[in-house]
Amino acid sequence: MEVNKILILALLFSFLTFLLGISLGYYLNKYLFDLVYEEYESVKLMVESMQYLTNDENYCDIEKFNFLTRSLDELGNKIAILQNSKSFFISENKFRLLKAQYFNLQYLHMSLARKMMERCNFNASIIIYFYDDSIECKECDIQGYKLSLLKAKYRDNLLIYSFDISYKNSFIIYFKEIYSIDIVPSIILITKNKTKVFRGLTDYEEIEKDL
Amino acid sequence: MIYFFKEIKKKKLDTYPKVSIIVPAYNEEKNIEETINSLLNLDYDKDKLEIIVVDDGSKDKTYEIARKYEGKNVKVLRKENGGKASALNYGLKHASGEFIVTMDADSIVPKDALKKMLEYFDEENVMVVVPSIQVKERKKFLEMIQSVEYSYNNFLRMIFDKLNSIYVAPGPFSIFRRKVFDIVGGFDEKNLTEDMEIAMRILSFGFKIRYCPEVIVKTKAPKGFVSLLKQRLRWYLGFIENFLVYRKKITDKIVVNLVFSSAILFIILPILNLFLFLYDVIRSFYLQFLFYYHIDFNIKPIFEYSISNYHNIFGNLLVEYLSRGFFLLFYNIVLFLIFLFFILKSWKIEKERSKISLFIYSFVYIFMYSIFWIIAIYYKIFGKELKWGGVVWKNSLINKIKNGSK
Repeated sequence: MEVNKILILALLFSFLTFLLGISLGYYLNKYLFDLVYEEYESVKLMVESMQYLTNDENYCDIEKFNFLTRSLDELGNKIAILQNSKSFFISENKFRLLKAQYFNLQYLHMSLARKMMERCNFNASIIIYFYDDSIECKECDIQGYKLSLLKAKYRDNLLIYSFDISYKNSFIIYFKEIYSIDIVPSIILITKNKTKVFRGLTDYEEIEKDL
Repeated sequence: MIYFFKEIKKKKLDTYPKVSIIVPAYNEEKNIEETINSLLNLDYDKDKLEIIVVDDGSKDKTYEIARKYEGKNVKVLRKENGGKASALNYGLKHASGEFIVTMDADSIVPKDALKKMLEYFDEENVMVVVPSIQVKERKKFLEMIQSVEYSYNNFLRMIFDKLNSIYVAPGPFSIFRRKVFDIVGGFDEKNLTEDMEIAMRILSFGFKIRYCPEVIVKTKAPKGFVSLLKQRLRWYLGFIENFLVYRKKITDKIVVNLVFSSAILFIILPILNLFLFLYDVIRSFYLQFLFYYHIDFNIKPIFEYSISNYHNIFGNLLVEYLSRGFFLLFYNIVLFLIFLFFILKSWKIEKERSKISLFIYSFVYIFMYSIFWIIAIYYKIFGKELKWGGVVWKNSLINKIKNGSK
């Protein structure tokens, strides 16, 4: 076979390989997004079931609740990884919708947690953490690190709910108004006895005093 | 694709011509005996075989050891140190064969090497035939890596042969038609890589260089990292300089384009991958450091919490690499598989065994190759002076600018 024909074949083969790579990337990212979304649906199902049960019955299964908390945290980790990947195969709108739905799920879990704290022998503190991904916020990242340390120390006795204030979920707008959240990062700490608001970057030792 | 579609041609010889083998040697007292013995063992009519050992001013007992073999077939000459090319040219003046073979003094050849390689002079304009090269010993880690590299180069030679683009006539056992030296001249005594320079010069005259894959010449490979780096620097700087000189003189554009584009591909891609890999690693360490810095290095609770959540590690890793790593990973996998394909095809001829070690050494070789090229490019731009034996190199861009401004 002539050299020129071989080179053309080689070029075609390379192009097809390139196309295969792009297609595989697209389908794998789609599969990945669907995987995370399925996990969201599964956790949502568990939270809603427990919510219904707690509404009607005097239900106090702390172990199951803690398992649910961990599942929610894991889902949050995966969504964060997805966000950080900035994959161009995942549509921005689809991702924002997933994140907004996740925030709703967190709120649902938080109201469940408050019921558990009122009715059952469940001693935990709640941190509602506000950040903003629509702007450059290095202090938000640093606050995240400090909260990770607190979570590692207190585990199931500390529930951390993170919300992006640039999202339009009703409860986010509501909390911003009633607690006058005008800067990020901000933290609302809710314990059995009190509620405290920390505006701006707060060291973990300061938060720990009130836990 | 070239490998599958183009056939190799050769021609059986009716009579065997006279052959002169030139062995330039400098401080090779440990290797010269083995080399001479392997040449004396060649399956070739001894009346038509001439071995010329040229001692290039050795400071050890190379000359004395070689003299022991002086006789009907073996001539031993001595000259002042001037570098390998000068020794080869000196040997050429004393050679009487129709074919000239260059032979490194630390290499050994199989018995049937000459007869097999001469069959590849199937056309009048084939001026050089080159063999496969492999390392003599494969005991140390660096020797194993070089073994992979030589297999890779042997495969490339197969492809380049089919496109008449072999751009180096390696020192160990390349066969030249004697008359090519009358046409193109002898070896360039000032060149870093006289074997590459003469091959490109021969191509620029429109002649052909062929490859004989079934003859495997074993050569001594550098055992230490520094000596390996020095050797590779010489090769790569030699390639850059000789290619820049000959790319316009070689009239066959396919040759020029193929050599140039494959050089770009095989230099740039591994370097790019190396930088991407290092960027990833450094960025990960940096982010981890930032994290621990902002929590005052309270590592214990984080570590204990991670251990308690170990079952989630796989899930997170899957998300991490499917979302970010796969796209790049796919191309790395494709390139790596192509590289392995090259090696395995070459191994079919070399009859190599260990396929598991292939993966390990190939992976390390790809990175090491990139690092050597980065260093070579750095020296080409900023280097002051380098010395290899009798050859001094001062051809960096910085030196050229300084000399130009004077």
